[in-house]
Amino acid sequence: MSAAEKIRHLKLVLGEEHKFLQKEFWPMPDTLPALSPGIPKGAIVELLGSAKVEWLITFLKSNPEFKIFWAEREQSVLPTALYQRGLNLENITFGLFGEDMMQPLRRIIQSQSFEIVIAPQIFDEIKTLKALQLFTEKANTSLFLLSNKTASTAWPISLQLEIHNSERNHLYVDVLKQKHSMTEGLTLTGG
Amino acid sequence: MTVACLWFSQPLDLAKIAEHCLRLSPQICFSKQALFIEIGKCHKLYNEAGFLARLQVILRRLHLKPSVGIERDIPYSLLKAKYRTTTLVSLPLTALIEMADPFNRDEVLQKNILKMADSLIDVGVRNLAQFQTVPLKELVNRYGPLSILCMQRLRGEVEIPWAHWKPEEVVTERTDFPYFEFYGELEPILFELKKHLDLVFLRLRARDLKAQKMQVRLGLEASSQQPERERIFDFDFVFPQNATKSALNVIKERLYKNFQENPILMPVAYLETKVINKVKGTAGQKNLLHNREEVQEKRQALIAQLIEAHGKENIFQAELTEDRRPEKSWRKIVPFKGEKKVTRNFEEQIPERPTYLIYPERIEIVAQELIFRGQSYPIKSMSQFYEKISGGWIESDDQKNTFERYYFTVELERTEQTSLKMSVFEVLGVGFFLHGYFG
Repeated sequence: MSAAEKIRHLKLVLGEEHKFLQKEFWPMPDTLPALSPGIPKGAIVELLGSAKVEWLITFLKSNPEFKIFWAEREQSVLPTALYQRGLNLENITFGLFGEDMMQPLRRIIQSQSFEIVIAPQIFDEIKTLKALQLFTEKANTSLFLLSNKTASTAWPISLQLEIHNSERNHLYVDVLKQKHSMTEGLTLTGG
Repeated sequence: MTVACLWFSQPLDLAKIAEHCLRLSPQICFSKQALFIEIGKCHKLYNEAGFLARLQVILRRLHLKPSVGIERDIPYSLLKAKYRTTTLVSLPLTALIEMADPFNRDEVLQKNILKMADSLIDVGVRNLAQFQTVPLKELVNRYGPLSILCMQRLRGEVEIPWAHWKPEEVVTERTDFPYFEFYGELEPILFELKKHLDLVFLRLRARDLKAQKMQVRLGLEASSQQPERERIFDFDFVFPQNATKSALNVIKERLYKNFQENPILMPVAYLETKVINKVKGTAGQKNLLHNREEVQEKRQALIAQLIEAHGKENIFQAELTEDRRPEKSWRKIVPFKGEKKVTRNFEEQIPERPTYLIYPERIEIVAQELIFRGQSYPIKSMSQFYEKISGGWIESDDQKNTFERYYFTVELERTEQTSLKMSVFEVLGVGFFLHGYFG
């Protein structure tokens, strides 16, 4: 039995399954690998891998009503590419904050004005991530952290996905961590 | 009627000067360069000499030196101030413009008078005295009602209606601190400021207005340690403000930064809050069916605060442009300002752009290897060139500004299963450049 399966089994034994149902989720579109039950609202999601932005864009595209804040250290994401892939630029606000990301992120999340906040994963301290987790939970905002490093081991992160392009231009998603469901440790393909 | 006219050689904000002149007479109006004061009805308060003496005091205080003319009506007082004479022989035909349109409002009328003056000069009429001798019948036949208007004004037959002007209402609050209550702490100042803003926005809301520009003044006790007497903070809000909370957040941001950089060492003597510019508000009852307006206002308040803290260039929305170069294919706009957006059908026109764009960086491609910053990466596949972008010659005369790029996509092998797609362009004769990557 793998470690992931053991954890899943333990969660079932502890009767935590009913807790998953209390959480609200954004549904996954058919064009992406089926991640059950979806993306948790009011939680931190860490995305890794070479196709993370493509995956994220497809997810955002399926929810056109989202108001999105895209925070970066310096301008790197190309708005034209987002538009080409079907996102409405009127719903996206960009912010360039340099290294000091925590304070503006706190403000943005606490304002409850954006359903989705996207930021680079530059937070190593558990304390910082814990604060962000509390803010997101209170505001019911999903915070996507785009990571270029290895997966963080911090507990406040609810969902960790590693996304790559496969041979046939499909995405395959490694669910590295999933607090609110039982698919942790699985690899999902499709799209 | 006795009218005094102040003629300024340069266009000025005459509303402010008019406000100062209100102590001389309540009947005032102005154009871009001329200020008219009706003084005939104030003859019991002062005579002409007394008026001029009082006016000189005001003008000296404002550091202004206009020429002043006092005459029986608006056009003649303007002529006296501008040409320093009302003798018709000395006045050129172009003075008919001041006669016909003393408030400088009708450009078409002025143009037509100029045309008339030009044609009259051709037939030997050179000044207003000669113009007055031309029979009106002949003028009307040739120049129509325009000539009647000029002649009537010249003869003083028609009185010009006095343009209405009322000084703009100023919304301001001031608190004095005579007992050295606090020194350079920000919190008590913000506490007072909140009270000011509450009152200011109550007044604005009652008039269905919003604050666009605001000024906060901090008066300081003078000392040798800190010679500055006043700190002035001007706020031009990104979105017109109508609530204390959002405005206070923006103001707090600026004050906090200023107090950190330049602490106040002396007691604060007074705090003044003034609304400089107001715009129309959105009157109406709260929508009971949805709260879209409130959410939008909340979002705007956040954006205004972020812009104050991080600058306009760092908080933005994107709008597409017509430029084909990836780096210039979009531009920054102020978020949620309702600016007109360019919509383009990109899918048909332009190949898919990389999600991340970087400043073009030189690379080398040698035999299925991509060399970037001294490191080589195996190439999994490389597309044929799919797009040529050239141009730049129209932007400046400099030949160096022109460009010709041939774009490719290069897929680098990362692991057996995964790969990384890059956007690369070649400049013929120069080499390859990495411009972005997908994913």
